[in-house]
Amino acid sequence: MKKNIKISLMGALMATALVACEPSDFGDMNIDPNRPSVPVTSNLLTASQQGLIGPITDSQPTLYSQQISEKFYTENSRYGTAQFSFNGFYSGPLANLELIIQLNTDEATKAVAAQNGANNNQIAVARILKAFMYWHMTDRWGDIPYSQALLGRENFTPVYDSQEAIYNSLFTELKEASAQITSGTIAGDMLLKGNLNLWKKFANTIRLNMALRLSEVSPAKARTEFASAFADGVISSNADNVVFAFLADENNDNPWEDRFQTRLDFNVSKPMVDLLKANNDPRLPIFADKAVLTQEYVGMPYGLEQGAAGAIPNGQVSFLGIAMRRQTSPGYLMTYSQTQFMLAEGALRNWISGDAETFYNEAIKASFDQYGVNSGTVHADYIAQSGVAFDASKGLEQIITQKWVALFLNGYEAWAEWRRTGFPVLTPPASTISPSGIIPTRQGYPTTERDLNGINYNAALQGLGGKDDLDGKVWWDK
Amino acid sequence: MRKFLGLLLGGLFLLGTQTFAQDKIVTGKVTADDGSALPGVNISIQGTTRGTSTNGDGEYQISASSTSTLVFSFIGFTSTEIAVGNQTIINVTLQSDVQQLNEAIVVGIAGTRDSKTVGHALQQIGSDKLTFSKETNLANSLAGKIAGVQIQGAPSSSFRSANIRIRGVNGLSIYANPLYIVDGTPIDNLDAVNMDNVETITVLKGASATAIYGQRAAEGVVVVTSKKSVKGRIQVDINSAITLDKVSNLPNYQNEYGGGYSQEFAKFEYNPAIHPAAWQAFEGQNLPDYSADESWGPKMDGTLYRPYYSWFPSNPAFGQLAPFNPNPDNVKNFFDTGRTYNNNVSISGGSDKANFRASVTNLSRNLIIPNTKQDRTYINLGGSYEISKKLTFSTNINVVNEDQTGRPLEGYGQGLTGSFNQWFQRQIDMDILRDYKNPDGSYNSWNINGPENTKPLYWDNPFTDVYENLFHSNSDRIFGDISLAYKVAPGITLTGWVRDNVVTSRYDFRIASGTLNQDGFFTGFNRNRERNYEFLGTYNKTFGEFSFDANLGANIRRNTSQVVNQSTNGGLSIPDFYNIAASKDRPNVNNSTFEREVRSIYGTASIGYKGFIYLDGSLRNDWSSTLPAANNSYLYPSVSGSFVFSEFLQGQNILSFGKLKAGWAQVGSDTGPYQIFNTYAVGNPYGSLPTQNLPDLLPNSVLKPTLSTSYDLGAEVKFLDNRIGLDFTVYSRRNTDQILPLSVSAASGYTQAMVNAGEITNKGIEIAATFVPVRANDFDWTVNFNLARARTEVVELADGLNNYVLPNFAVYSAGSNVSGSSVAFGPTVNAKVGEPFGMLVGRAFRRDENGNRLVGANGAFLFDDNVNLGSYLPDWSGGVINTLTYKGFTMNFSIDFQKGGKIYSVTQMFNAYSGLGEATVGDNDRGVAQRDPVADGGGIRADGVLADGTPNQNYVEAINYYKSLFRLHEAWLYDASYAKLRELSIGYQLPSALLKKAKIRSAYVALVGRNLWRISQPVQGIDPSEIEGVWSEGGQLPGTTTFGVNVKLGF
Repeated sequence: MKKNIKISLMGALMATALVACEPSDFGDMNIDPNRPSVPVTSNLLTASQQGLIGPITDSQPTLYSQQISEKFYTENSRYGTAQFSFNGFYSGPLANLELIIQLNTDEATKAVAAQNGANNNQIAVARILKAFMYWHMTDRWGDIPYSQALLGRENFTPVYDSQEAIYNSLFTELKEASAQITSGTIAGDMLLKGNLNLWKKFANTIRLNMALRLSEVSPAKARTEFASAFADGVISSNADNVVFAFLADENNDNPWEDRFQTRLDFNVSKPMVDLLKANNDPRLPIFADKAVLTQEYVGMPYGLEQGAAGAIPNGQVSFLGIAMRRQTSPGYLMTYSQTQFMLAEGALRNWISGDAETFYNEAIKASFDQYGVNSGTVHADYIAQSGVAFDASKGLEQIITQKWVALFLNGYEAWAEWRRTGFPVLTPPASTISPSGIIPTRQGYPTTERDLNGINYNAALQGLGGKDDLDGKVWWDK
Repeated sequence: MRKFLGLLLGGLFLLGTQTFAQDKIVTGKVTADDGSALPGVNISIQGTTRGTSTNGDGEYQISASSTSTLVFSFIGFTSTEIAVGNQTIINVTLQSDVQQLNEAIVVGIAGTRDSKTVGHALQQIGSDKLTFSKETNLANSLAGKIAGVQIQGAPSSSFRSANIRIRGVNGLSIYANPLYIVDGTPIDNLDAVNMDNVETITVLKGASATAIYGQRAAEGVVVVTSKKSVKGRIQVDINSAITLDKVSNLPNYQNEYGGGYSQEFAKFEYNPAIHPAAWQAFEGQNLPDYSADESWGPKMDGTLYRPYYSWFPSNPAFGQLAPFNPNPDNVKNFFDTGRTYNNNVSISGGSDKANFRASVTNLSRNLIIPNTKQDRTYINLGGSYEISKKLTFSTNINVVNEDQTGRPLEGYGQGLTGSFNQWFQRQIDMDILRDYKNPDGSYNSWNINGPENTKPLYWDNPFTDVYENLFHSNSDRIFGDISLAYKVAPGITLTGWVRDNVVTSRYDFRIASGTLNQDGFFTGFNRNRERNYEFLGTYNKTFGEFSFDANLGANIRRNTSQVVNQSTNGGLSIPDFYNIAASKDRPNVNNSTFEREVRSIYGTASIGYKGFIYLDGSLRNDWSSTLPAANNSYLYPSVSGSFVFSEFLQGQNILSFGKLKAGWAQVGSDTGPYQIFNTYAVGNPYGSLPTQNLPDLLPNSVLKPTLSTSYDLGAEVKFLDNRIGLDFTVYSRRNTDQILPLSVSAASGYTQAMVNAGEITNKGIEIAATFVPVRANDFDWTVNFNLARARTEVVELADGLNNYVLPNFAVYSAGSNVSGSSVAFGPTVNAKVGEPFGMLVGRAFRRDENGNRLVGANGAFLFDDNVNLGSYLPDWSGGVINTLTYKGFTMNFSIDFQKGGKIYSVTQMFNAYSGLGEATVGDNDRGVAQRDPVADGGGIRADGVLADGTPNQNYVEAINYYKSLFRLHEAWLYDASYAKLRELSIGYQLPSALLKKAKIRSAYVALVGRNLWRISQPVQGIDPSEIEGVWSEGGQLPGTTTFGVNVKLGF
């Protein structure tokens, strides 16, 4: 019996010992050894800039703008998808940029952050990039979360701000950011190599472009902002171009190269090839390859149903030119040529002084230079042709049509300009998948917003007649 | 709390130790009615859970009080009860009884108990019912055999192991797995189980049964018990089987039109600028569209044309024409005969002091897909040794080695069936493709760019895929335990175990240089270990009419894993050199380590009264490293009881046994490691610039443990001498505060946030029945039937959230990397508040008030997005096993089925989209071939009404019609009901008289078959019990039918 009591005591002791030895204490076991606990601002900046790839290389807007035609799988050409995700912008580059601003602002972290450049300069660059992305997004979706966005656990259901409010705020952001820049450089800037003067020009040119967008909805504001941006100094040569330099590295190469690796999906569209051929445009061999069988430049009719599209052999149409789809083919975010077209329009509208024709001709020349096709009298001959030669009576159509060519593969910008001006005149496919049969004028919100941010999502739809499809119009699109 | 727990557990021990001294030792021998000694007889003390069994000579020893009654039971014999009284030697003769059905069942940590004493919801199945058709996969062997257990996720033509789902869905995850335990050791992969070694499998379903296993048992526990030695003699058993697989479940293809997008052949046009002069002779020859991977082409009517291979200069058929003819069996001809060789030898034996069982199994398989091979060896050793009267050492050691070549690709856009069923030209002759390499070393394909460029366009030759894009993997696993048990005194035992489960695996995969895709090499190492230290004190005692059992346990579990994955990037700098060193660009490298620990202490107690009322309780506390320190301790209880009411209904012949059972339990659980603190993952560098990203998943430093609560209520009744048996259970589970990465509006900066959220309820019914329709002298027929229904409803999510889109994975089965694209083409799976779980939401036909489909002016169906399309979960599932014995012959067959639920078929969608399917040919409702031009009376009329309510009369070209159904989810969603004759065996046990001379103990030979008859399935080619995903498939591998022979010899 004694022995048994001893044993039971032992058992009780063991149980007590077990609970007494702080079983809740696991030390550092739950600290993740696979991911760093500390962010480095220059690393965050490089990662954020990688988020610019989509805006300048997506294929969908090159279809809306009919620069490109799909060869056979024409669902996207016929607007088969209505919902597009903006989630990656918020959770990716925008969240990273917000963190850069925070790390350069908080007293506890700003000294360490300053190792990558003056706090103000890092903040300014982050603000400019943020503004660029929000501008890109609001032009695609219309009203979007802005003032309450990026607050993490503080707000999982941010309201949608009106595009007008977002534009107003972005003008201010860009001005303040530009003014905030001091001398020096910053680390991690793969886009403009730490050249802060170029960041100023980039910020001002974004403003110039945004101001132009308001030409129909708010001409007075458009004029003021346009003149102000121009006065502050915009991109003034091809050397100032904001270019995403793709590398000869699978992880950093041009997505158009990947699209052609094992597939033949994208032709240059018939409207584009026809225009380039009509104008003897020296950019044609850059933009398009000759059809394999005929050795001619032949545009692919846009948006055919598959029965008809399939009847055209691959060898009889021009695919996207090899120069446009190398691993290192550059991605143009904002160019001198584009800027000159903006100024031509500004001059045409009398928003700034200067001659629209001069800007227009310079814009074309800049584009030729950009693609390395401007030798001898090529430019002079080109602009002398009827149809190309500037004619103020149809100046806007000429400017935007030439801009549409110069913006080849920058689909979002070409599509936005088509929405604003209606140029070039495009014909929708005969049989669309989207019920309305018209060319899209916006993109639908991601379905996650309907599920996860329903109240604010539904409020945003009020401005779109309650429908979240491709046919709603953003605020500036009148 | 902590102090309370200590006191409680200490107290249990003190309480228990006061009275054991009243026991005495009883010994004896048990014999059969023919006088032979009976080894392995169960001897239990009535009203308790204590017991022992006889040794090889039929002898036993047990400590019992004089007031207790010993129950001697053995399968095939009538159990006998003897009151102990003054006796210390009790010899018993058992009467044989073929009608005996009672059994001892495994109930977890404390070992086996007489089934009648158990109040938990569980079901046990023996090896005779598991492996009669020589199924080598544990999950498949359970299909349709246990109420509420379903398997999913593995086509029969793949190496993958199916997953087991118990009682439907219990939380906001479709991918949760039960806990698998082999001889006490938790394992993470069913492939580790050698089915030749399995004695029984017990599936613990109710939480009162599983609570003691802790948090990982929330989805149930599958307890595997290995065969044990028989004391007193050496036994050698040999078990060999050969089975052959044939492809048997392909979609129905059309055989009228060949490859292309147009019914007119293109004509070869000679162009001196691009063609060699000799090609002038080809002018005007018929060219199909080689670049097409669809079959909307010309009629296969024997017209002479230039086949793709006639453009390969090195091909003897270069320049030659061939008739454009169908090859109806081309897909079938791709597949080989699969072979499985399963050889097992075991040896076992034992003395009074020691026993052992060792076995070696080799399992060698070739799938029906060419160049696939898997070789697996299992070495299992188990044994125990009585060091002293009080101290016993035991061990189970299992070594499993696997070597695999080939990994049949599944999923949309992958080779093989992804091609044959989705993107193909119907006229292709598979035998010509077999020669996939040209004499100059380049690879050919049916899908070339054209005569001028004979490189593959979208698809490699499928034989290139299987012979050149090689996959290899191997793994070594060791699992098992060593233990020491110390009998402190009669009724008190202390046992300690160390258990380990270590698996090291590696794989490599290559994309061969010169094939369609950029060449590359991918390799990875993975090492996982789970170490468990366990302690268990057991105590049992009888006081008068009461029996009492108690256990006190403690457990430390530590999981560690190391992962290294590497792949080349941007191609290989040296063609055909398959090594990371060949990477053109900076290779992709990922290395990770994970570590977590759970510390637990638990106690159980069981009280029985007079052998008809039993009450069980348990309490367990876990501490987990993955939760915030302030919230990482959690306690959860369970209670269950059973009442054998038939004890009060003696003296009648109808009800032979009746029991009511009930259980209530809670189970707490933690989360994965590293979900608490912010981290900033390293991304792909840009040149020399490194990158870091704020994660998309917001961690949470105040996470709490999850709690699930469940009830079970059931009855077991047996009638007419046990010829009818029914086991009926209803249950209800409620899962709250689940830890999950909740999707949040990405505009917050994060796409997901770790939260405690949600309330999910899961209710169901389970029925297991046994009938013995015939019981004659030489002939017996037994039917085991089961049926289950499970309903899961989403009661609440998080604040302001009414719908949760479940994460998108087409296929979740362990170790598979199937692309998620089939989901991209399919509806989403949703948890919607107030709706059944698993709601599929997607694009549906737009309908008018009368339910008619609406058609637009262009003749295509109109549609609406975001429509509820029903839950993927079935209404009912179940199965039947029939066993017929006639003298030495035994026939077993099993059927399983499910009713209701939905399945989304991407294969069917593309089969129509690409003009491969049977439905895309034949006449339209005007009696004209649907593929003829609309202008000639062909085309298809969408069967619906126009906006004004009048029937649509517009015809559209067939190709455009089927393409307009792309991603129109409702059109490709099928009722997931099915029934299938899964297993059959017909065996013969040779008479022992015949064998005695050859000194053979037993000999058995059987013919076996599997997947013999798909009695019904949603659509030809899609077997819901074999789909690669939970609710969808895309590029599904085909099903097989298996035949074989099994021979067993015992010495």
